[in-house]
Amino acid sequence: MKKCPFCNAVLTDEANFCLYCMTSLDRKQKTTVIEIKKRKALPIILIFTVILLISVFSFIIITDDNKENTDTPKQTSSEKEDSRNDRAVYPEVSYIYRAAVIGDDYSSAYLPDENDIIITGVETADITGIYYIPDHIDGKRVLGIDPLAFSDESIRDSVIKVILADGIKNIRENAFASCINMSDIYFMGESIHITADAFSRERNGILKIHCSESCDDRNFRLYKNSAQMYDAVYEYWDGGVVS
Amino acid sequence: MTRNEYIKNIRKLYSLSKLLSDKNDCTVLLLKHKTLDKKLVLRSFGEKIAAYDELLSVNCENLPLIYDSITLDDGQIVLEEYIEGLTVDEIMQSGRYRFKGAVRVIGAVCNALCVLHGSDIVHRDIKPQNIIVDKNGRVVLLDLNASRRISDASKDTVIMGTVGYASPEQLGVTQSDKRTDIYALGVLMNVMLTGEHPSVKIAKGRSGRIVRKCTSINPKDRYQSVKELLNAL
Repeated sequence: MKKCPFCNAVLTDEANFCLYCMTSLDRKQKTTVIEIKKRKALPIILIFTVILLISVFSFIIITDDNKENTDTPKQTSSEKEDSRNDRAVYPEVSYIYRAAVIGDDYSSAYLPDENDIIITGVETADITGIYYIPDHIDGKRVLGIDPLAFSDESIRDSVIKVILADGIKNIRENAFASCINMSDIYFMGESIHITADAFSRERNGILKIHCSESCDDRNFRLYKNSAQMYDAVYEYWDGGVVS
Repeated sequence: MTRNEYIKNIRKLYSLSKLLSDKNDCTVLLLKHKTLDKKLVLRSFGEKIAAYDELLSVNCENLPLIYDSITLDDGQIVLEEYIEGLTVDEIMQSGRYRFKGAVRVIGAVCNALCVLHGSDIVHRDIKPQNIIVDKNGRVVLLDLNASRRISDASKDTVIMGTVGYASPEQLGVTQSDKRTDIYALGVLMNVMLTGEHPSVKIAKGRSGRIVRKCTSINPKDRYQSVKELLNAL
């Protein structure tokens, strides 16, 4: 007998499919994830201009960050390494998402590569209610989450907790607008842009935002005064296992 | 474990949505996960169909994903992706295909056959009822119940296929091979364009030439591979 790596259900040794979470166990059987929608590449001059602007803003932010923050205790380098080692290792879950190559309507502020992708939908509901969104799928960088990505009727009510990998840069409007049961969102990275109306206005409870101690409001451009975020609370998260 | 026992166990997790088919010791059920609300197709066979084991490691857009193939005491059970859509037969109720549309469907079926033929599997039952088009335009070739491996040395002992789409060799003259499917594709294309079997009315122009070649009595006169047919299209 063996266990399903996704839901821990007990299966026969010969099983190729978990009947409990409806997941294929054979990696070769990945369902089609990438919907390739080729769009025009940005002009090179525009990209250079954006890089220049980003460099200027980054210099300003870095200069600001060098100021001492006595309120937040700093980790020593060995403690930081320990907490990184403690971070949960999440399973490869690329099979459950639909994704598309980014288009030229995507903000150039994120320095997109023409092969970068965004999550456009969810193929399979996770019975645990915990959705881990990786920063790479099939070798392509996941830049963000598209509007209404989690709005499918079969998906939205199942979303309880969402964990976003380090490299994800943007949650667009209405990405989680239908997820009224969502209670927690975890950010593994330190910098992400969340568009207004990204989360549900009506929720069954408070939304908790979990981030590492090195994040602060200047890195997280959260619309704290927006109607969906006013009842959000922040909690320090060391990157450990979410259950 | 028998097939009935397996189905009894699976019913603890899945509700029965629909009985899709029940004939010739082959039962096809549409099941729905009670919690996830997602559907799958369960096929129960009284004999082993090798084609499904081959397709376990295959991911082709024009074939349904085979989730699992389970050999049991009294046969085989296959769990398969459920494709929701209209069959080509149902689509043709409201009219005939134009050349471009027919080529798109035939092209998709050829893509599926490339995969099957590449694994030495002949479908043997290509017909409008076995081709489904989903809401996104995805064309899928279904139903491998009649398929068999080309490499089997013995002559076909059972006549398989559908009257009208079955090539002369399927009716007992010689052994079925890949060109059997090409014959059926020719008939399919003609029916999609004219509404009639090629023996009654053949499509005009270039389409007709392709249909004639596909449906040659002598397999040696047909396209020898689906790739050759694709090039012609």
